[in-house]
Amino acid sequence: MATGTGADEFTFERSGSKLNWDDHYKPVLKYVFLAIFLSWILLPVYYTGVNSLKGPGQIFKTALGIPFLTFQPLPTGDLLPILLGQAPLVPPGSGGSFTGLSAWRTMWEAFPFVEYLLATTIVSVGTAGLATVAAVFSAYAFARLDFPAKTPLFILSVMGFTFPIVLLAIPIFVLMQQLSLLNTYLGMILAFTAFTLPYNIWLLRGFFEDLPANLEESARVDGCTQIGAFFRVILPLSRPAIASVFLLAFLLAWHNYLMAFILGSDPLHTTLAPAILQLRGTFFVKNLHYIMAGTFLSMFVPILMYMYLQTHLVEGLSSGGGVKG
Amino acid sequence: MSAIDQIGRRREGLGGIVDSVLEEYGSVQGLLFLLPTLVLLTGIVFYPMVQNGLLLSLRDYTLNPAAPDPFVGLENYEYWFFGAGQALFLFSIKVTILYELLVVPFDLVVALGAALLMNERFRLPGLGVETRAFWRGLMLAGYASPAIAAGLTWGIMQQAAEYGIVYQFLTIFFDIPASGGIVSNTPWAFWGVVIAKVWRDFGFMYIVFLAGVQSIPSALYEISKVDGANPIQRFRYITLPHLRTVIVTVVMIRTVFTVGKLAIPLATTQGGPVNYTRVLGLVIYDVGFGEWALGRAAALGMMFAVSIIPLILLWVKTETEDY
Amino acid sequence: MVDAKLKELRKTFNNGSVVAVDSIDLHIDEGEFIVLVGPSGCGKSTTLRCIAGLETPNDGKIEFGGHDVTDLPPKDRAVSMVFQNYALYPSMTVYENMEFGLKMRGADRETIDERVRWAADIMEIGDLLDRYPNQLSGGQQQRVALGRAIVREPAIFLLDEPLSNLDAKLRSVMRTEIQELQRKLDVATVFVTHDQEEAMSMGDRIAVMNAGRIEQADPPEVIYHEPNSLFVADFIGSPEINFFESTFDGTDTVDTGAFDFDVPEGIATELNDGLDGSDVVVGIRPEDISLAPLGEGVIDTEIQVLEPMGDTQILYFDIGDSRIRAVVPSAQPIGEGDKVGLAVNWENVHFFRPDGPKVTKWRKATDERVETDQEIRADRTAGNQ
Repeated sequence: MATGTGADEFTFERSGSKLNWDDHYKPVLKYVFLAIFLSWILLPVYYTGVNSLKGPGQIFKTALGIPFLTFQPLPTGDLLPILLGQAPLVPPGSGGSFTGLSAWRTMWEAFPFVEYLLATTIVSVGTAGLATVAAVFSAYAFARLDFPAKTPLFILSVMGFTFPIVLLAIPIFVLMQQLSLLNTYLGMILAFTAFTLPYNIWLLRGFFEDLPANLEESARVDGCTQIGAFFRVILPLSRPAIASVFLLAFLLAWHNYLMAFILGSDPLHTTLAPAILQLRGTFFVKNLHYIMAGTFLSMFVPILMYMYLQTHLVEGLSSGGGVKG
Repeated sequence: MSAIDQIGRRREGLGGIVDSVLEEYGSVQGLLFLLPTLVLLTGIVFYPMVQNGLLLSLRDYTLNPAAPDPFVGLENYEYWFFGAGQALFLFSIKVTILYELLVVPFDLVVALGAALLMNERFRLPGLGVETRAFWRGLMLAGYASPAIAAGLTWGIMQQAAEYGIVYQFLTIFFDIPASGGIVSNTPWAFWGVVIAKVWRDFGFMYIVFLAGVQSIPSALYEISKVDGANPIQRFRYITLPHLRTVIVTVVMIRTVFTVGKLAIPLATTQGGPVNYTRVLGLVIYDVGFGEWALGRAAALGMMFAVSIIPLILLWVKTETEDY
Repeated sequence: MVDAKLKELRKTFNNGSVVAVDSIDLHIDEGEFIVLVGPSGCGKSTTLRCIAGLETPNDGKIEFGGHDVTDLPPKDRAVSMVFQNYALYPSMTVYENMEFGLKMRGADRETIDERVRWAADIMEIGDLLDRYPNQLSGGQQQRVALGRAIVREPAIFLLDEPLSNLDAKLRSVMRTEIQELQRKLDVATVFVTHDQEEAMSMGDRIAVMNAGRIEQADPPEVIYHEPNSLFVADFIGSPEINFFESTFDGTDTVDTGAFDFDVPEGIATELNDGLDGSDVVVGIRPEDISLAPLGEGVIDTEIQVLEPMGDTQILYFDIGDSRIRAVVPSAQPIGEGDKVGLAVNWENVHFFRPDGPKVTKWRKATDERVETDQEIRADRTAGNQ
């Protein structure tokens, strides 16, 4: 390696080994690490998905195996009816067999999963809608408008962000009881919205602050009022951030266990999270594959949404997520 | 009328009236925008917190509307501090603190590793296409999953049965008692919960770190190569310093966030074995909605709230410093 | 002292579909300051990065002082580099930025301190050593970047458009400073820029690059007065050279379309040898066009635009379809709209093949007397074809 001490001798020699990190090890190792990471991450998803297609006996035998490959087909050798769930369910412990989608079918029949899914969707969409609207207006107000007590109001609005929901569980439960809003979609939506608002406002405010001020200014020169500028200029530009907020609020409602459990106990108002836990409680070993199916369902929908929207999410979260600086 | 003259004119008709009203009460605009939020938060958070939280903790309240709920003063608090609930109270505090101390650093390391990894290019030789975006999305599979589902699945996988693959795997390296598996034995249960929690939650830090790492200009790495830095030195002198503020922010958020969560311990081990994984949030849940001793649970909740207020204030102060 | 040789250096991207550097050869002498100049995408930055070791060439060799360094990583090549956006480590002070290279090489504290202070002295940033990059102005950051580069006393000094981010005044100050620095250190230096004025004012030699190839590598005066091709003549020189797409009749007359002129025998021979057909491009630099009384020049025309430039004025004319530029002293009292005649300084007229390469230059090819415009015109009027 060259010494550069002012002398005229430079020796140009390789100082390290010929196989270096950047050119040789990294290109291979990065795929290795990727494979390891992804295996760990996808393990539960794969596990529940795969096992939801087997009879409980089969799960006992080969928990990781892909259904097609890990057991014997029925004597009739007719795979298609089994796949479509038309073959009979084999009683547990009898050696098991491939049940195809029958676990899924039965799950819908034996448990009111349709209602669970419906409830979850209604509450999630409702929450996302209400939260997004409220957050957009509030965040814009904090970012761009001036009014008395702005700072304290902001702190008030946003500090709920970090507040453990469990501390609000009882107060809200009692409140909803008093307002007769237990077991109603409205009650659940209001509660979830209140929880997700702080974070949403915080994100959106950060985003709005990052937008150049001269956007609105040039709109006003063109004749808009401040509000007009808001609707015509800012909102269209904010679509990725607003979409992120919508997604986040949706997911909070979809994921939530505690408040969903407390506020919605009849089948029509039970969301997926409490539903799955109930499954575990009463039916464990016998109906493992139902648990698998339900769990998989609750994971799969959000994963799909995330995969689809994940580029926007990075944009949205990082612009307001306190990453600046 | 020329275009110049048009500027500054109000719109005609209804639009014009709205405009003038809004111009008049300009500062009120902001408050109007805030109205839905303020109503919602006051109604659902602040008022109940005081009315049903604070005041409730001073009563002996159960679910039965017919039963009397007499005002009992500080009896509920005494229960936790000095009475029968003391053992659980103190133990649970320890559990919660330990939980925080394990989960946050693990979260950090995993998220940082994932972000660094996903900053690389993954151009598959066969396809000749950049696959990175796809893998990045998959990394969020845990974050997309409900905590209950995560806890439940990991709990099942950790059982000492043939289908408990995590148990089967770890038994090779560690001596885990066969009766109860990971989930029902100490200290394994604790680690089981931690694994599930990190799996579920690291996505948050990961997204933030990924954005941070991507914003490092490649010229910095190049000049450091010319300067003679090896990969480890590059990480230490370029990557890490760049992420420093972000790491601090995110660790603070995570710490404050994790404190009250109960879904994963509930789903994985149900707080067991005995109370080994019973974090404070879970205690409140059990007492409030298991035993329906809502007054007592509220009291515990109040104490919990008071103790984390410093944390929250600290966070709020650093985040709103620009004001 | 070390020299650098590029032998048939070739670098492609995207599996060969983009050829950034197309088998170039270049020899950079010990202590020489060479400028790589050309338009965006011509391959100058890629060439520089290959010399640094940040890119691995697909083909060819790079030698420093006779040693083959083509396979060596950057840190073993004893090069220093300055980037366009300075690339200072934001989390380190100026001092730490400057000591970084030596620290990585395991030098001891004393040596490091000595060298950092020496470099800081030269760059006059001694009082900034404790500051962080975000506390410095653009010019100061530039000096720190330069200081960081010279601390290690490299064998080769590489600069990638280092002045492009500075304002005009600072840029010209830094130009002089960098030249003085280079002379003082006596290190072979490769400087990349897209600004031809910068190139002309700074290098011992200029290598004009285009589409991955070096069109010409010569000292600035040679590049300016003896351009080897249309591209070089066009790229270097401000205001740009005027091109006339003309035809040569094979014996003695070149017709530019706007005017024609006779060429001496020596030129005619060269034209006949060098051209494929009768098409030739005539290049006349603006400063070789002057004003003549109406009727006495090669052509009469009207001044369309006049740009005062201090001690000179740039005049723009519309001749045929083209805009022709001339540079005259500002003392000359003229204005837009004036009708004037144009005279040409025939000695410096260039002839190029339409596909690029030069054929000849008037002065070089002949020792015959140069006929003046008047005589040419008189000839023509007298019916001499």
